Amino acid sequence: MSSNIYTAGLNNVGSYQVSGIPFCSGNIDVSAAGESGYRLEFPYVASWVMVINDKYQTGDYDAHIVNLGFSSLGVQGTNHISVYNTDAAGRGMHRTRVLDLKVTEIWLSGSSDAVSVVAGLTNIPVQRVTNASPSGSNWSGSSGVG
Amino acid sequence: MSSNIYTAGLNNVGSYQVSGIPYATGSLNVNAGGLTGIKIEFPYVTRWVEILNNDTANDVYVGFSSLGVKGTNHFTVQKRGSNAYGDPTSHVLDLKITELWLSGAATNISVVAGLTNIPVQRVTNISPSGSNWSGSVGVG
Repeated sequence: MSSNIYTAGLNNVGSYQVSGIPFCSGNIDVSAAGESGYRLEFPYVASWVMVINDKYQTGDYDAHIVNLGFSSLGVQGTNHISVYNTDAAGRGMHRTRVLDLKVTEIWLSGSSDAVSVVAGLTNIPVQRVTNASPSGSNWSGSSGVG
Repeated sequence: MSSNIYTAGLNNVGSYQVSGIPYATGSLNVNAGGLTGIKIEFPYVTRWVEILNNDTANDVYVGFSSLGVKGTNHFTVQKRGSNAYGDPTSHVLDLKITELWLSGAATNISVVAGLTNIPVQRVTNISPSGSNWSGSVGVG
C-alpha cells in the first residue's frame, strides 16, 4: 500500500486565498538577541505577517527601533526594514502593514524589548520553502534577503 | 430520504473571496475579565477581524485562547492617543477563527469582523484542544 501523503505546493493559489490560521507571539525582547538577531519560526508557511513595536519612549520615537529581516545576515546587513517605537503622543511608525509574504521565519534585531508578531498561516509545510531556498532556509541567500 | 446537510469546508476558497457577513460588538469592558480575559465567540468562522481600542489610558492584549493572552501568544493594540496621532487599531487581519480573547485594563474596546458561512465546527474539529486552534503553536 502506498504511504505517500500529498500536501499543497508553495504556489498553490487557494492556500493564500483563504484566511490564515492564527499565529501570534508577544513580549519578545529583541534587544537581548544581540547583533545576530532574534529568530521567530512559523510552523507552516505564512500567508501574511505583521510586526508591532510595542515600546513607548516619551518624546523620542526612534530610541528603540526594531529591524525586520528574513535571515540573520539580512538583519546584520542591509536587507531589513525598521519599525520605530511610539512616543507618548502616539508618534512613530509603530507597526508594519500586513505584509503578504510566504516565509517560514522572520528575524528581528534592534533595541526594543517589547515586540509582537502576528501572522496568518497557510497549511503548506515549511519544507516547501526550505527545499527551494539557496541556503536551505527561508529564502536565505536570495537577493533582498541576505 | 437522506437527511445529510452539506456545508462549506474550512479551506473553501469561495467562502473567503466573497465579502463577509457583518459582525460588530462595542463598548467591551476587557478589564472585567481579569487575567483570564474576555472571550468573544463568533457564530461562524471569520474571514477577517479588526480590534479597535477606544480607551485613552490602557492598551489591550489580543490573543486566540485564554492561555495565549495569559502567556506570550498575544499582541498589543495601543490605547487611543489624546490627539490626532496614534494607531489604536489592529488593522484588518485575514484570519479564520471562531473566538477572540482580549485582556488588559481597557474598558472601551470594539471588535468588527466579516464572517464566512462556514460552521465553527470546521475549526473545532481539527484544533488540538477542540477549540479555536487552542494548543497550536502561536496560539497557546
